[in-house]
Amino acid sequence: MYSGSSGINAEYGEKNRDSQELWNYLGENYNFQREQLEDVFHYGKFMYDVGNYAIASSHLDIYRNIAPADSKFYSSAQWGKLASEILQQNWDQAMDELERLKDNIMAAVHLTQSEVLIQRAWLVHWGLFVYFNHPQGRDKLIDDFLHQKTYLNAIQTMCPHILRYITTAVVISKRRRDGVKELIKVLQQESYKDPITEFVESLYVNFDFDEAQSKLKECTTVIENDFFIVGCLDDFTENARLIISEIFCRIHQRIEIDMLADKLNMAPAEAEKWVVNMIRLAHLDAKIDSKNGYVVMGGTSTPIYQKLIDKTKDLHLKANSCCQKVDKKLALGI
Amino acid sequence: MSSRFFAQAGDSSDESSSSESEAEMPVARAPVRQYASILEESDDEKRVVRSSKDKRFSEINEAIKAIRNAKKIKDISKVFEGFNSLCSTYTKSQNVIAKNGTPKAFIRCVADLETFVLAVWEDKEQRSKLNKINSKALGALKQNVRKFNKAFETDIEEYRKNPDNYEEVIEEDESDNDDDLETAKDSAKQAKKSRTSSSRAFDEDDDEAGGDGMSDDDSDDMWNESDDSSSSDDEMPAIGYTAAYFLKKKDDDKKERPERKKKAPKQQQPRTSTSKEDEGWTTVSGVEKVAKEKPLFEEGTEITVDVVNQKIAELSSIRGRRGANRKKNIETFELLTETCYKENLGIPVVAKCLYYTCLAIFDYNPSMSACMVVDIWVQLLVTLDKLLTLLEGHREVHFVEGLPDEEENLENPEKPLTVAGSILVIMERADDEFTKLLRNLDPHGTEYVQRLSDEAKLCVVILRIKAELATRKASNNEMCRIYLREIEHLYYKVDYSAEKGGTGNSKAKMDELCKFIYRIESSDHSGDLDRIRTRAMLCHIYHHALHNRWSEARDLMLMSHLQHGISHADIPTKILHNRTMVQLGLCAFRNGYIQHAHTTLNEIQSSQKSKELLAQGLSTQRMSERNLEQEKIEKQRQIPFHMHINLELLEYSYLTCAMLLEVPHMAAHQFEQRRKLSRTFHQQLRNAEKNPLIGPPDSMREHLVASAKAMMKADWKTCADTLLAHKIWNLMPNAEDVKAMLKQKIKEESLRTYMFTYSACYDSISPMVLSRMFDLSNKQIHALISKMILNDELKASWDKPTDLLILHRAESSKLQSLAKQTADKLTHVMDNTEKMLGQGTTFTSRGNAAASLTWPNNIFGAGNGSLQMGFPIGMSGDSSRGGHRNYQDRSRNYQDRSRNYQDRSNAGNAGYNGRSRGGYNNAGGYNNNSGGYNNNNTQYTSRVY
Repeated sequence: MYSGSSGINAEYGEKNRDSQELWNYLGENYNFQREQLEDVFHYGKFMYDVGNYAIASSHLDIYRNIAPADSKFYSSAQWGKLASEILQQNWDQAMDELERLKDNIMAAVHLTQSEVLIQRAWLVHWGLFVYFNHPQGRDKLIDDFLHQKTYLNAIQTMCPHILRYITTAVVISKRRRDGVKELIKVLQQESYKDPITEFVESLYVNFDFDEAQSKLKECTTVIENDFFIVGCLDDFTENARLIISEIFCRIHQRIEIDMLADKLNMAPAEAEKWVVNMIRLAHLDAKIDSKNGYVVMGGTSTPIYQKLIDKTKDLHLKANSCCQKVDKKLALGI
Repeated sequence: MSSRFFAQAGDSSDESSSSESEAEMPVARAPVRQYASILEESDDEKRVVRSSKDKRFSEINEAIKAIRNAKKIKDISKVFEGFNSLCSTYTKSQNVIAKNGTPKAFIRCVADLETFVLAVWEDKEQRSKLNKINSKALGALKQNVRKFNKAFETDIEEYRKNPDNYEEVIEEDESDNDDDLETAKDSAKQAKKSRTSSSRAFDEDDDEAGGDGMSDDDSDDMWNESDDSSSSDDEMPAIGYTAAYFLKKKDDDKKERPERKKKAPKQQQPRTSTSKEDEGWTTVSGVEKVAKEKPLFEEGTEITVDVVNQKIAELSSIRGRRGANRKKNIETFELLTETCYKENLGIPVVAKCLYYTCLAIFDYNPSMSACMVVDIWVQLLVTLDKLLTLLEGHREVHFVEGLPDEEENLENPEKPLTVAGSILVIMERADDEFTKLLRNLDPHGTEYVQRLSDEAKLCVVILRIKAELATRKASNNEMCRIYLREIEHLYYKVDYSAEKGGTGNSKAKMDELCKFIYRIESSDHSGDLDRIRTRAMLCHIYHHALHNRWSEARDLMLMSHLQHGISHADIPTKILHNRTMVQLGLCAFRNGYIQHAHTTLNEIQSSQKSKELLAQGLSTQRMSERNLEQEKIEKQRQIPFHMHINLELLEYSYLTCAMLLEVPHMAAHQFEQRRKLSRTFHQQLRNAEKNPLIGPPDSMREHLVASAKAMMKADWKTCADTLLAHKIWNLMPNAEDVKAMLKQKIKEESLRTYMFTYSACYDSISPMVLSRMFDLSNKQIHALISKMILNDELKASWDKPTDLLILHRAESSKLQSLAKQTADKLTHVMDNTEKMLGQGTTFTSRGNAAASLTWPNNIFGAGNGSLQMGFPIGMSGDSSRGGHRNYQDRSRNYQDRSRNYQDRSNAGNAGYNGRSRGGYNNAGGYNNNSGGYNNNNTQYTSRVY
């Protein structure tokens, strides 16, 4: 009986929730009364407990779509839906659910601050399943947790251990640069520490490459043993190397390839190849001096005259446009 | 317990303590007379026992009378005054009025007043004649009356219709107060059945029955004599312990009673002060100046609860009057207590008597600002202790705050036994008085230390009251209040056991106490509870900071959003906030967070008013800025000495922070006088330069300047030696660690200074050399310089194969850097102009012209003007007065200015508040915190989930 009613979703969308029309329709066509609504939820919960997540998911969805937003089980249904999606590994849907939950938490007026905080903390934890399995999850994680103050604060207040996952995501992410600065600030404020965060700190705060390297080794074990990020091990190592070399190259003029290889945990030949690759992909402005086995960095800072010119270049244009504006005003006004 | 008090207090008091035990007996009798004399007087002075209703109504009547009189002489300002007092009385007696209806006299007065005001207002001629004060008052009065009267429109309407109706009532109201008194008593009588005679009759009884006890004449003689012999003993507080004595030795007392009776005839004989007994007598009787005395209760009168009640009401009605002997009042109450005990009138009555004794003790001081005499305070503590013991033994007796006298239930065992009053209030006042006491003592004297030892006793009392309130299921508010008291006695004390690595008891204690307060949700956000919570939180932060728990303290500070609300707080809370901020800054300093320490302390140091802001004394140079009144008020806010934060240490720490930040900064920006991080620091430098002769450093500031000079030359060794030579560092907890930290910082900053200053002279430099120069490891050098390179502070790069630092010639000449500055400023001006033009029509051409005229002036002329623009207002806003508020305003800047804090407090702001509409938005702050707290537990649940 219930499975047949899933079609109502299409006909009666969000707009008609809890409307009389909807209930009339349900009553006429399916002989479904208001009192039965809770049964839908309980059935969904039961199915969830049994392990039949697909049915649980669809029923919770129905309940959620029909029940008024202030009903008793509304938020439970939401969470249940998310859980069933996660358990079915429907990451796209799970991601949608996550978004919905976020909106709900934000819109929840009846919750006290601490309740909201708890809800957010839950969301952060459940979200880990989704973020590390969804293809765009890692970037999303940075956007949601690091750049949204509400969640960042919830993490800082209640679960600083999540910083590990944020850090991992930042290291892996392609758009690392915006994230790193923010992350460093947060990391320095919090007393939470693990090899992954320490790796980032040793690189960006202490500039201690030896420590960074040893932390990188530790990171490998940590990641291997972490349920969520175990899949990111290769990405992480690769990107970590990239970061090290990037910073290394910025502060050096000449580096022995052997040394670089050592810092990157690679064999010298492998490292040379790697550098060549980097140069080719224009990640690095450098040349290899193969006679001595050096990497020589190119390009230094722009001369001061150039800077000055750059700075004052557009002044002229701006001044002109200002003049025009003034003229216009004079003509119009007084 | 009380006996211990007794013994100790006795030791510390005057030499007379040996004869105290004897002294007590006569005291017991002495006030007896006093009472009677009061009663006698009361015949013509209408000493009245009034219910709260009558009291309020007569207050209203008085105000009405005052208004009427002023109206007659057309003194508007007086009328205004009277009206104000009427209003305030009215609001005060709201609950009485709610019960009995608005008094008609009141309505009449208000209505008449309105007509009167309107009449005067209309009468233009007369109005113009009024002097300035009166005309001003008239305007204000007119407005206020109209506003006030809106509430009584219907009543006034009715009055206007038939004023006669009201007339009569007023007559009645204003008629002899004795009638009032009678009715009040009558009602009392009806409520409580036992007593049969009115108070006047009672007085007569007194007279008639005089012969039963001692004859009047006898006693007169006696007191006269004793007066003569011992008037010099007036100030001796020996009688302070009578009640304790009687309570403890009840049994002895009874035995002694007949004895005393025997003694009575003896007293009639003229006495010399040689005999032991007599000494006792004289000591006390000196206090009793009033000659005509009679016993407290007429012998033969049946002493019942009502009689006692009556007596208490009578006595408390003379509270605060001029001429009432306050000391004697205390004694009388003590005697009354004792009598109640003897007569077995029941615990509630005794409790009430003790309660009133406490009140009488408070009354002992004529003004609130003056501090109590030590012995009186001790007596208060003893009484409080007794009252507490009594209550602990009798859980069925309740003190109910704000209960009208008539609704007390002192004897009916079937209903809950209630006494009006609050033991908590007594305790709070006792605590306040204690603070006052300490404030008025010389902090360097031994007396101060002695008094300080009393704090332990006070704390014990607080703890007992806490336990008592907890078992009695007191309201949340009351519990919070008592918890706060405990916190405030705890937070500033250093827990040395924690420092030695042991488990800090006080931390756990503090956590427990504060969390109790946090947990209580204020349902209606009553200001009181909010205040308690704020204070508790501040104390909590202070305590964390004091024990070097930097991250806890900081987190709590940031999570609590305290800084947003603090500018609306009351001044003592602001002071506490200042203290907390300072402690937080010092904590950051000890932990090596120089930047944080600097920004935190900068607030308070740059104002040069740290003394006032911390309420640790008044700075002398600013004497002229405040008048006597302000000074008096400020003195009342002072923190007792033992809670002070060492100001020298504070300043030295701050300046050290400033030096560590400023010297490299100055080196990095040699040509641009751009941003000064610390004006105070620069001021010190300038002052030092004025000296014609610079000797070896002596004072704290000289030490600092000398070390800063050394650092500018990157001479870290001299710098560290000079700076750390000052012995003030020893006042820091774990001074050695702090010194080591400072030494390390000095090395690092010296290295930076060196690189900024001299890097232009090098083409390449070996880190080995640097390492040797600055006594830093190669690795540290490497990290530091790498950091500088990455932050674009230093144009250089490492050459690994040769292990050298290659410096790129990027240092600009003075001309170049100035050109750069000019370019910057031009862009700035351009932006501003664009913005202005973009704003469109609001600017007239004139305004534009003016603006564009002033800017170039700023840029090219007095360059400083525009340079300063970058500063937050707090920094240049030194001129603002009103010390505390000033700091508060700054403390907001505190967030804006410090880069790191900003993020976090933004987190507070934008995070909790900004984005989410429903959730954190309305938080206002504190709840978040409690959220944060509860969450420590939930963290795990959510993880498990």
